[in-house]
Amino acid sequence: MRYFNNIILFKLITFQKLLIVLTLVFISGCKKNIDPLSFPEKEVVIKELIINGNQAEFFQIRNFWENTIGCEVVNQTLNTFTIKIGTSLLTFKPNFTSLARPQYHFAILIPSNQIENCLAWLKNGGKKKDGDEIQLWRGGETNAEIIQSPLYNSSSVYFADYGGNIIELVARRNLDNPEEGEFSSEMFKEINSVSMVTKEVRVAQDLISQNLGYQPVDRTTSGYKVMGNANGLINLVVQNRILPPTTTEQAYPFEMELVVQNPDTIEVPLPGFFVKITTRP
Amino acid sequence: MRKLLLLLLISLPLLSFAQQPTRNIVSPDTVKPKRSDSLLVDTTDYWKDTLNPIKDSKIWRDGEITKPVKPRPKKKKFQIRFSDRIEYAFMLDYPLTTGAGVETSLLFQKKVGAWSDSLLPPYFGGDSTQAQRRRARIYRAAKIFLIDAPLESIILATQQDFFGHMARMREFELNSKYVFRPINLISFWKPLGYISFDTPKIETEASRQQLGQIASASLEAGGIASDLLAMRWMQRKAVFYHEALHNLRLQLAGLSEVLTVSKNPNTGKSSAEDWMYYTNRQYGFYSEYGYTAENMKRDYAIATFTNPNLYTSLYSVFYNYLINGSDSMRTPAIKIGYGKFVLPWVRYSFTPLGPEWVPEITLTRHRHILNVYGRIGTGVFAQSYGGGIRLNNFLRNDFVSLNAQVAFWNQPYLFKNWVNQEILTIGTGGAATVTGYFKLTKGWHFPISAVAQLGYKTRGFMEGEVWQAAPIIRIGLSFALDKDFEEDYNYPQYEEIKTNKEKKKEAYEAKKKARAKTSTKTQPRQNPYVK
Repeated sequence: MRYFNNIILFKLITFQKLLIVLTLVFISGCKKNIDPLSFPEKEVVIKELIINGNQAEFFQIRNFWENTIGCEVVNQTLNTFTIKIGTSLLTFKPNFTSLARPQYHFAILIPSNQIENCLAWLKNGGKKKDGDEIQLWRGGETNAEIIQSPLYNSSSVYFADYGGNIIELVARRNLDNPEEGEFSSEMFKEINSVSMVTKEVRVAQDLISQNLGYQPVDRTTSGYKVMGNANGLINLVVQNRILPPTTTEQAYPFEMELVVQNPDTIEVPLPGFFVKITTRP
Repeated sequence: MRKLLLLLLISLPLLSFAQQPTRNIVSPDTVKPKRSDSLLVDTTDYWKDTLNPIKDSKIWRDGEITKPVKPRPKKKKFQIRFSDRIEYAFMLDYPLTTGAGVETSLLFQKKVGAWSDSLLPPYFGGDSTQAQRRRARIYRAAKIFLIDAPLESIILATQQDFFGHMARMREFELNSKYVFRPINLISFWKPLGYISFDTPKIETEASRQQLGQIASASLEAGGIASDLLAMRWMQRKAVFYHEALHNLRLQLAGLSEVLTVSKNPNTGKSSAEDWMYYTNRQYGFYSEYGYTAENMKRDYAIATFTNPNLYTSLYSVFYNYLINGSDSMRTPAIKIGYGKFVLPWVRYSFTPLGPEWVPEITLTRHRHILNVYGRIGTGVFAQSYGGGIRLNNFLRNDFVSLNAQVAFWNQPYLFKNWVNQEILTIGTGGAATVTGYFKLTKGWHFPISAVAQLGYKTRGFMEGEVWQAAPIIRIGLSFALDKDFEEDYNYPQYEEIKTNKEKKKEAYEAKKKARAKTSTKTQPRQNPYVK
């Protein structure tokens, strides 16, 4: 009888354990909210992005953007050059302040159906057809070439320019802007998002929402806060955070000026020294 | 196609003839118990025993009394009922899914095997001399390779095309049709037809994940079929030759598809290659694959060659049937008690979220089945895990037998529509179904049941089911085609275990009787010679 009792007890204990494990599994599964993000109404319209390039590599950077990617150089001075990316402008300045090699992350919007062609285009050397493969930044965890982001409903390819910047070509499915034809840099729509590195993400977020009226996207963390919507985004990244999709590159607040569309002309310096947002009508 | 389906539905009752066993089916449930525990009685001392007041004890010539031998504890034996017969179901649901289709295809496989055996029985002449046995083996080998294996190939192709690839295409609302080939007697083992579809169109309509799922649907159907067969073998505790041959054909088809995948996969060669090509693309791997052909070959070979059911099939077909001429054999499983067996195996599953390992363990208690399985995603594409429990025959009586299934999973996303990619968030999900077989007739020859499977599943990938959250409703007819048990209600009389209370009560009553006997005055013996 005792033997049978023991068996029943054993069964009860194992059943209880099983129940606990199953409940934990269920809770752990339920806890994560992996639904696609819902974006606020106001978008960030990026007019121009002004970033630094290493002085020693300045000529090669311009050569890369003009001849390899195929972007039109719209303005050139002794120290700077500006290229046209769709409706936005990208200006490079040499960094005189340090010998460091500045590294930025920004995303260029491409048509929603062109992500595979875009990858093939990069692999064939961009504008120089059958040229050397443009260096890609692959997904750190999976090593994938095209990175799916179900949260943002987008697919991205990341490549490195001559200066080592992380440039993302993003196809946003929910924008529904397909284009047929052979892929080229003429299909670049605009600079869609920019990562701005700051020590104080919350302070920066408050400054931006007070001065410019952009709202943060829910469920983005205090270390990586996203503001705006799929048509235009600002990513506020805390200093020293690893920049996706890499597993090695750390975010650092290099000098940067982001020019966005706004009726009034204002300047919003973010916490730190060199990162600021200016506006232009 | 619709006319063919209608014809099939009309002629469905014809399938209900039960199979006549060619020889006695080997199954422990049908073997009568041996009575090895009977006592030997010393007849020379019988007269003394008659005087013995204590029952079953003996008094020897020197006056010594031996106590009665304690009989072995008698175990409760299982009564095989009508409701324990294995059901071969014809199921319909909307859209005709792989889960329902594989069940149906196995019914046809059973029937085709039975017809093949009735036309050409597995034994040829006698088997008492060496020459006769040799002749019979040659005959059976010819039957396997010329009739049974080609038939299995045709059934498998139909199972994989119509209930595999096309089932998923129906689910994703992609146009396809089955084109029948003209009958060719020279290459008679080839499938009856092929699936016709517009590749560029479906490549723009469906996501790469959906295309991968369509491609791997044949292997998915194969996995479900091999599981169903293995569970039937465990439930019946006997393996039939035709089922073993079908399983062998399944495994061979899977191996030939996987092991021929090239290093740079492309579409249109084999299901496994298509799955690999599309799934890698869905998750952004183009020039270097996240999951390479080598990885797939290694994992699939491990899963296939460690599966005991493969060796059971090989033994059943090539030794038990071909050499010995027997079309059934005991299921090799680990015995853990009377009528209790256990068998673990691991399967490899091609899911739209990446490859998954499916370790399974099946426990049987007579004809009740408990199958517990896990789903462990390899994480090369998406992180996923899950598991489930299947209970077969958990409730049975003369009118109904019930099966139940519960499953859960944790998966991230499914993608639909490649151009305007629709994202289906999953998270934690689950499914629960109950299948009831309601007996309509109880005869030997027309054992028909009505079958209804009801349940619900949340969104997510589960073998044989649709992606979306949906109720699971399947209805059909089911036929208990095996005569693998004694005639109804003519089972041998078994004895039951007695509880301690009952034993004590019996002992007390026996003592009481003995006391009553001793207390009554015995009559003096009458001398027969004295009148």
